[in-house]
Amino acid sequence: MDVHLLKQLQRDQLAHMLESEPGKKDFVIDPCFTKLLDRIAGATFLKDHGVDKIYKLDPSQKSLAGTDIRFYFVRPAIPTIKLIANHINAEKSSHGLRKYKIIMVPRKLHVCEKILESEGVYGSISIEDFNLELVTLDNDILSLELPDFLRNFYLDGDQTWLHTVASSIVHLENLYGNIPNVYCLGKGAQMTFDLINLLSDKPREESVEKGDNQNIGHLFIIDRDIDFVTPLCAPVTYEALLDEIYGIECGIIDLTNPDSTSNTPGKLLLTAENEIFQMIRNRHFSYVFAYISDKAKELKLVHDKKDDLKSVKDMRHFVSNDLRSLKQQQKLLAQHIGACEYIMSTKSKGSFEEFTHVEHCLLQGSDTKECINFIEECLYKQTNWLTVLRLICLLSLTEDGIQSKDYKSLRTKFLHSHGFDLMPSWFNLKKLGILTEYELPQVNKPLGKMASITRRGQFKSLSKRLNLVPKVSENVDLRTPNDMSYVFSGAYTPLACKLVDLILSRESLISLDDVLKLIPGGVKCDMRLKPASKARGGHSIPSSPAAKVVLVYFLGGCTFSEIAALRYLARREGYKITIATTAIITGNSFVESVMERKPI
Amino acid sequence: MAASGRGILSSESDSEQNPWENQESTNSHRKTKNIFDDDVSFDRAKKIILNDLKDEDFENDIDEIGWNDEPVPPSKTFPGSSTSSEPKVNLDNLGTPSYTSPRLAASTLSVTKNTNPVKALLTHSRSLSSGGTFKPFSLSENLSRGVSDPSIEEVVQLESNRSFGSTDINKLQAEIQTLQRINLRAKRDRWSKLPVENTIKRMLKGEACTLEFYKSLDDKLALIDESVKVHDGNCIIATVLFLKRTVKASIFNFEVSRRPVALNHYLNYLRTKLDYQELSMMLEMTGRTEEAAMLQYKVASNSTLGTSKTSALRNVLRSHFSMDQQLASEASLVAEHIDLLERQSPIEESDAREEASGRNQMFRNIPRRRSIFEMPLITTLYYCCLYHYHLSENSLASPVAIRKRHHICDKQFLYCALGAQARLQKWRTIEELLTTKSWFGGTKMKSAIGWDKVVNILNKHNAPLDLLHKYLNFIDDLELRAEVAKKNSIVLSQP
Repeated sequence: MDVHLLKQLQRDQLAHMLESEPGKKDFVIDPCFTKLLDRIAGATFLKDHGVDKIYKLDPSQKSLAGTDIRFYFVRPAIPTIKLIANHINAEKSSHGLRKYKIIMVPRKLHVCEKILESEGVYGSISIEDFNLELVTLDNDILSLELPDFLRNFYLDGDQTWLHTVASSIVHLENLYGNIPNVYCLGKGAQMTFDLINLLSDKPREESVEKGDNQNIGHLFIIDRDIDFVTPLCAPVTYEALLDEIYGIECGIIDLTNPDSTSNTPGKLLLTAENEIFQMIRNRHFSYVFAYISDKAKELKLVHDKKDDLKSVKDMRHFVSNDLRSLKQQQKLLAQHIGACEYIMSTKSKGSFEEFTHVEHCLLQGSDTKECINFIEECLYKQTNWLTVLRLICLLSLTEDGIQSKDYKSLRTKFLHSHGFDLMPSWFNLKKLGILTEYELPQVNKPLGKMASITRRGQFKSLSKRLNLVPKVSENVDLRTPNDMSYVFSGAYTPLACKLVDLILSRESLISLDDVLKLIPGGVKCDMRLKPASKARGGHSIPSSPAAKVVLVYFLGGCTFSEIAALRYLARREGYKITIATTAIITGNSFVESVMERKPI
Repeated sequence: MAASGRGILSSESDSEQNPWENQESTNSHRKTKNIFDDDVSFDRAKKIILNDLKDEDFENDIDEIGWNDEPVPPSKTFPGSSTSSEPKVNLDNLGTPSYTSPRLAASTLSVTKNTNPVKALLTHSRSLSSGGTFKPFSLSENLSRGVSDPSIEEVVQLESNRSFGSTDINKLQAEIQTLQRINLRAKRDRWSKLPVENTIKRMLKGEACTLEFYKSLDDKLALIDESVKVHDGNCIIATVLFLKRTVKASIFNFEVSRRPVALNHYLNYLRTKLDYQELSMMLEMTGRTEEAAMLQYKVASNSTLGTSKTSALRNVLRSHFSMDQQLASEASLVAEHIDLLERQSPIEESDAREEASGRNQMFRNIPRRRSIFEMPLITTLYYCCLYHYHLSENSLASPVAIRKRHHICDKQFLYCALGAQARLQKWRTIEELLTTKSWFGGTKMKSAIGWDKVVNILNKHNAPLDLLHKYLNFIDDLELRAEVAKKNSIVLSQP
């Protein structure tokens, strides 16, 4: 499954779209697309296809100057569309002849057309949709780059983006062949599968039976809400830490340290092509430095070669081959060293060890009282609100709700220390079901609708049945991982990854029934490719190569910790796992996305 | 990829606009012979076509017209688009398979009576063909199929091509019969509604369709229910808004509140439109009072002006929180918020004046970094511990008064007071803070928070070493004591 094919197709599509209107044109893009378009095409590509100026859409703009043709390349969101309508209305008198084309990505929405109609600009524009769906971020990562999915779908119950997910899978199936085995973990996943069947032209059974052009054997569609614990846990692998501390956007990181005038600034593309990065991205942070220093020594050896160059020929060879790569590697190495140092200093500033300890206690379900004390202490000290909130949510999730007395006291203390107006944000977390009040049973209160929704699957029983929290975490080798839980220092195995592992290794789901029914929203599967049956001698008949190719699709986003765990699984079992997601999230971005405001 | 094709199509159709207008003027006589006009009967249509055939000499054989689904160049497919009443919008819909908003479709229909009826169908047929979903079909197949959409395309195509073989009359007559049936069916379809499932499926695939024909309430509700069944938010909100537009409020509210998924979509629509009034009303009506209260609270606390903010909050407290028994604890938090704001604004006012005057040494030593207004409670407490520590309890800025009003626990208070006094280097005050009178008049050192934390805070503010040693020795756990000492790089005195 070559995911770079997608990129090529998207470039062609983009070129077609741009050429559809002959002549010079201006291109106004939604700010959320800047990095994304860079990954697909880049500014030169746009210029080569007739784009004159590129603007970023900004709420402060009243109108724009430019040529007679203008393209808006935007997400179909009401505020954005209103802004565009304002532009058009403002320019009507001065530039009546301008042609406007609004390109809604990935598709046009009814409400947006309504807005254009009611703003009276429908006659002066043309609308087109551009189904830019999954973007290739790396050899094994595809992303819709739709961070809003999480809030829209899980908090507000809005299913608009489900269509985009389904349609992206349909497009993948058109390219790589129908996927015979589909497993849906969670409710949204099952809805997505229904939609896929509605959207695809041919019935599933037929095309799967035929079996031609089958490149992917298994598809997992996984709801984020079956496991909110994972994103809340503090990451420890290198890539995940980079994302949490610097923020990785579309695979691009800005390594300019925010608080120092360090001499290793610069943007960096983080993909498998970056050789050094590829070696350390999935490592536990404590073993990253070891690699880097080894590498540095290695470079020094190469560098030292220059001293014993004997002939001019050798010299020329050295200069033309080694020197260039040497320089580049040196620069990369320096960047990673800078990043490591910054991560270390950030982590040690915020009493990282204590946090980790409390987090592990919560996951194990031990010393709850002590954990609550620690959280309170953080609130007294006004420690970073996101970090604290993550711990509170983790407490609620692992305990299946916080006892009423503690819940109220924590809320009051939180609001005291970070502002009363965070109360609606707190409510959102409650509505999402990750921060719930647990009333002692004797209180006979009628169960409202809210309560029945927010009652989560029992974390404890699930974690026990699936052995998510390894009993002896010392046995987990962090240097050369021997268990997926290494991504959290052996304290927790991401549920989704564990399920992928289990399901792929079984012949059927029947033996897993009692575990799977604990998953919120349930699990459904549609298996058409039977696992290679064991021959009598115990040797399995080799099945088609597609059986080892797996696509794991996360609804609502996944973390780099999960990606690292799946990569480990792929290495261990010889699978080829490609990860698709609506967005890549971190604990902070996850909590922040359901907030009503940023605290002061 | 389908869209790349679409891009081309639309561009061509756009640029093709003018040529078509020209053609319209030169070939205007065709209008009078349009077999698809409503008032043209079957017999007349037959005549027109036969006459046409006699009049004109065609070279092409009928087999070459492309009965199968060859993508037909748009320039030949849209004779109707030449009418200039609403050129751009229409062309656009032709270019991209899309779901036209009902209002637009309605307007299209309203003009069809006096122009070409085929035009109204164009959006249908074109979008279907660019969807590329149907297979090549023969005539008989077409007849037996219930679906008429592809046939319309053929009709359109035939009319524009006008390239009939002149020799094979029989063949042509069969053709005419087919056309006539197709035409009738097309007419029937155009004026009657499609089954609900078909409409939703079209919408789902982004094809053009209209909701205007669904006049009965049952149909409208069926539309919503079908949308919910296919899990597409775009369909759901479209059908919900259609219902809202076409029935009275009481029916809408009743029906939508019975459908949780549809309701969620409507609520989110209101949220993105920032229509908080309606949103709050809907929430209340559907029993989501807590959410409604939170919304109102959020709106009130986002209002910027100082005095109006407290009054807005007061209103919300009265109308949304106080009445509700379930929200008692939230109500007291809102009340605390109001009290805090009312405490902050006079403090801010007088302190800002004081600082500007430059008379107060305190503000000169430690200048205020920003206004205290709208800061969290604990920040305010710290501020008051810093600048107004010794004020008596009946003063607004008194830390003790704040502690009392907001039921701040000892630990929290100690953190703030210690931090502020250590910053001021008031070691005496700290000593007092940590001293409690014992039962028999004596004094005893006591801290609500662990002594290790006390040492940490003091060391951060460079407290004198003997003081640190003194407090360090209160740590009973020797291991912890050593650890704290090490962390703060204090050399432990040997016992």
